Amino acid sequence: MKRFLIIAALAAAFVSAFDASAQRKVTVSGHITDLSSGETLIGAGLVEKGTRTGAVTNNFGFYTLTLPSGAHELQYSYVGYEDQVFKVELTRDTVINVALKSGATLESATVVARKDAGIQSTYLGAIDIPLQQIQNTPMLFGEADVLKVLQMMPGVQGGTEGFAGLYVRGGGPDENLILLDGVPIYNVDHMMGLFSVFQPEAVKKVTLYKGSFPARYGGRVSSIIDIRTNDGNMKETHGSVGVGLISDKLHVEGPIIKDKLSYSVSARGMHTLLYSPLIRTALEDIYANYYFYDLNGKLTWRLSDKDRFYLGVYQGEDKFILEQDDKSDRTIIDGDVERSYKSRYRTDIGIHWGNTVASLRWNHIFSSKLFSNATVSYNRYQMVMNAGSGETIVDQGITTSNKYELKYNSGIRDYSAKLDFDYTPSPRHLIKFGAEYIHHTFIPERMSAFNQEIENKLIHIDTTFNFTDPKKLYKGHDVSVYVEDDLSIGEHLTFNPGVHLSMFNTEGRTYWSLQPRVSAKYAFDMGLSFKAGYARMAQYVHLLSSAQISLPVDLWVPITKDIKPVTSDQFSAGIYFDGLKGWEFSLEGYWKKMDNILEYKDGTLMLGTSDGWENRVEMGQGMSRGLELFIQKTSGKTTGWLAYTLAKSDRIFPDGSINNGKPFPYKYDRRHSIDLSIDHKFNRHWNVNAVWSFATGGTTTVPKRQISVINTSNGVYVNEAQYVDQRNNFRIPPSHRLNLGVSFTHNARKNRGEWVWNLSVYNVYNQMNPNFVFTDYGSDYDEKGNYIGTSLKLYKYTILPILPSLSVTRNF
Amino acid sequence: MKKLFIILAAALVFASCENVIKYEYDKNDAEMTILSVLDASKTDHFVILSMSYPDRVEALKGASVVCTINGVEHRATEVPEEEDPDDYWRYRTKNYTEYAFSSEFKPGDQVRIEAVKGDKKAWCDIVVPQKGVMSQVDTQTVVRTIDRQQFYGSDTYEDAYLDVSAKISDIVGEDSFFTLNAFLVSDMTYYWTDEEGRDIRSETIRSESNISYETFNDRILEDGYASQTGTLLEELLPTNVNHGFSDKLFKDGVGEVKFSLDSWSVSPQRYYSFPEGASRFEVTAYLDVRLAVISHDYYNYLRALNNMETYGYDVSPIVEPTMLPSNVEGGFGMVSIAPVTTVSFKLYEETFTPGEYYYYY
Repeated sequence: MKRFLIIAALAAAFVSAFDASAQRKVTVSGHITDLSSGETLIGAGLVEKGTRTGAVTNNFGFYTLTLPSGAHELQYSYVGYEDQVFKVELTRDTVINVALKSGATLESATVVARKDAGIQSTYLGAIDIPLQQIQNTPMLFGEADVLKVLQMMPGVQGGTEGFAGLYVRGGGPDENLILLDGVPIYNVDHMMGLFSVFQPEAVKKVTLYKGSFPARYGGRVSSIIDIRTNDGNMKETHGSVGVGLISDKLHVEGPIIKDKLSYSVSARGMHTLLYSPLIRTALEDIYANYYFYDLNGKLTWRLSDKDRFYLGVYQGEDKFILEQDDKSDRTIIDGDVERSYKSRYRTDIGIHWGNTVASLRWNHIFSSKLFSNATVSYNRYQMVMNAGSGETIVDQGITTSNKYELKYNSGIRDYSAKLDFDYTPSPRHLIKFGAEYIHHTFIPERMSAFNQEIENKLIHIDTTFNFTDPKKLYKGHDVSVYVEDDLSIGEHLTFNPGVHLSMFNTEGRTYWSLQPRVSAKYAFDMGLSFKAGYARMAQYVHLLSSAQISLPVDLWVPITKDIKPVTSDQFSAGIYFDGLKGWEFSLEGYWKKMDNILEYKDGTLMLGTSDGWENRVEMGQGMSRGLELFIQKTSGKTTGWLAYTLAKSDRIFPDGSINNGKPFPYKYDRRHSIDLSIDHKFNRHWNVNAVWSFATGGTTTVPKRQISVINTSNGVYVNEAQYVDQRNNFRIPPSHRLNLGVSFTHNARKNRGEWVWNLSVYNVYNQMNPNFVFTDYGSDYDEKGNYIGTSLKLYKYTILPILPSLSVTRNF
Repeated sequence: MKKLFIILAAALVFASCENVIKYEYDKNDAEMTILSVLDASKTDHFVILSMSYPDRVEALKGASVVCTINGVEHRATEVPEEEDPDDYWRYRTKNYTEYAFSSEFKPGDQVRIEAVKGDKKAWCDIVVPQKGVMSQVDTQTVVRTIDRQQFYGSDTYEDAYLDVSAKISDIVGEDSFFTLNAFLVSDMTYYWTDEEGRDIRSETIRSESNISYETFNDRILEDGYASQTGTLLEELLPTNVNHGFSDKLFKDGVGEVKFSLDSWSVSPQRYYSFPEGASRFEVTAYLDVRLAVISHDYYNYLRALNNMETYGYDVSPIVEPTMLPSNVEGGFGMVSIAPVTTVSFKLYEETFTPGEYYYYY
């Protein structure tokens, strides 16, 4: 590590020396924040109006720009904020912290600088998701959802219609690295994927990377979703309370010490959580409940201009409970004899699963050119199930009791430490380098049963049976280092070479992966630009998934000595235009090859059990290619986007254990996807939002005919079987739906905050989209309704028809 | 209040809708299926024909079936269905037809099995593989203490096994695939006593039956499947019940395969049919360990069958569908011709008299 830092520093010094010119240079640096809240702004821009050179704030709101000494006119801007222009005489390195004022409507920002995402950035396939769109987009039950808005981006598709799975450029749902303030989240769903765990109120910025990945990211092969949360208002206390159709929400943030120490707390829970005592009372001797909740908390401490600390905690969980208690106390007449008989039968079932994440970060500014961020974090996902029943009988004073308990648990636990540096030796270079270590502990499923039978104080049975090894654990050591340089060459060309080196050690075996990343952008005048890039990625964990939706029994497992890391090689290129104020256009193509991807072998039970999982999967190759059109209106009263994706994704497993070694379409291979989102703000009170989505159906496997098979395992005999010609041989009908939302905002009494009423309708024209598809034999009838026999049929289940919802939020 | 919750829950459940997706197929789209597993070391062979439709399988009677070996035709004849009055299912319609022919096969023979019925014609071309070499086939009777963890507690008992091991030589220059099976072969001779008290002896009848492996914990024989001695969760997973395996784990051209048979399955405590009036019968029983060299296609077919025999023959939502390989052109099916190498062990020679009760195992 030390050696790496020395080399990186020497490289940086070399770059600085190379870039030095005769004129004396000074550096202006600082933080850009929101004027009213003090919240740091990520991706805010600074432009020196004379030279048109500029800089952009990083994930912590910090910017740095080196300029020749002398007089300069600096313009600070951010989308949705009023620009600020300063005339300054720079004679030495200067710190300028700027607070921008939020505008009434979204106005486009003037940015001529390197950005991390968007069409101005050097990276391809990098998109900043507008937060306002996330909050306004009408979704299921009126619950604004980060991941479902991501599904509407080009190249990103949902899995099962209406659920939150993400399939990016032909990759699987476990190939997305979802970072919450830089810490990976393993389980991102509630209610089996109907909702995601991210509360929009707690989120400040969402960035999606799916093309030429920055070298600082690694660990997944298809996408990086970087979600940053609010730091907390440094000026005054604000918050909101909301009640929706499904959940209740609370968000509070404010200063503990003004401009020094702030907090931000967000909580969300299903109504069934808050009203569980009522449910328990109402259901008398049986109690059943399901709920989920999320808690986000963050403390931000601005120790000085050079040091800031962030402590973030997230806890989220889904819980299902079923309790039943039957009591009986009676007298039994047995011939002429009366005897007392008491019995009690009790059943308890509880399942809960969720994440706990805690992270501590320290930003330190070594100099106006060198910014650092150190992070230590803890991350745990666990699923626990307890099911038990007990019976006690007292018959003529003799007590007999029996008790059964079944326990199941699985999970993953990570400890990590990370160090990142941003070094800006000159306006032409932005060098990022760093290192990370993650210690994984994978707990595959542990299952045990307890049985006890006691009769008249005599124990007949008292035993615990372990279905699996109760001490079974897999450890993984994940180390990575990276360096990248966002390099400007002349006025028009930017170039971002980088490399990510990772090492994963498990079960005594070590895998190394050198992942070069490169992207280049050539910007013509008038807002036209071209980009091209290449990225290699590697992944060391897999999700053993049981079904098309997210289930709590899905298991994360590490690679093993036999299962190699997944790697992907992606080439992408595109043409971009932002010369029309408030509009952005992009057309991007990609070609992606994935190696060592896993699929269950033919005829394999898809239960999420890790026992012998290596035997049940096969390693193969995936190929996906596509074209993505993205038109975005970023400012004005009407904003939104149109995204169209043309894509193809195939799999091949040459070993022959899947589809006889022949290529077949991926389960979520969808040829066309169209997403149109329009948000219109009529005035301060009224806002409407409409979303229309269309996607070609995914694939499923259906039998083509009945066929005879010959068995020889116990003598020769002939059976009848359903014949399947190839995997995923049937294309499900397309899905499409329109969601509408209207929100009305008005001031509360005495101007103490405001009320926001939101009415949304999911699937307005009640399209019967297929949520689940299965085959079965069904009856056939003639025209007169007479039964004529049975035949194989394909059924679809639609569980998300038209669903109106109303929510109210009180902002204060 | 309780009713209200039930109504709400029911409303949520029934809010979902089930609809039939348009999925059309021609019910009369017929394709011929040829099935045959031929032992090249024998001379009497069967070919099974059926007609496959999208929703049913039917027997295929009256077809012309020819086996051509190196250009020489051997015509097969349809085997008439025999009605067995003891067969519970005798009233059902049999959905396949057997055709029989006699011929000899030797390694390297070019074989075509062709079936024609009306405008339907299907065939399979196959080359008879080389015979496998099996050496050092050993058996050993062992008594093991079994400690099975059961839900009601630990269950410990002793059981006797016949352990079998065999060294199998790889076939040089090609990927090789094998099956290794155990058979109980019984030569039975029946005796009657005539009025003068003399023995009347029947012809010796040979019968053979496949013996299931009790356990195997052998990487070669598991061939990627679950161990038969694994945990309870592993018992949910398919095992290699068809005993097909490849040479990929062979070392230095040899693979040593081990399996165990339950001692009951090779002991004299078996039920043999006792003809009416017979005074006694003699049985000489052998254990045959048979190695067959099979084609890659048939190896894949056996793997598909392993899955189907565990999870059923229909497509299931919790099981990845199984793709049945076919080596038949113009239709579907699987034809295997395998030279078999047999190593035989004499198990016992016993005489049974009426009144003795023997278990069927």
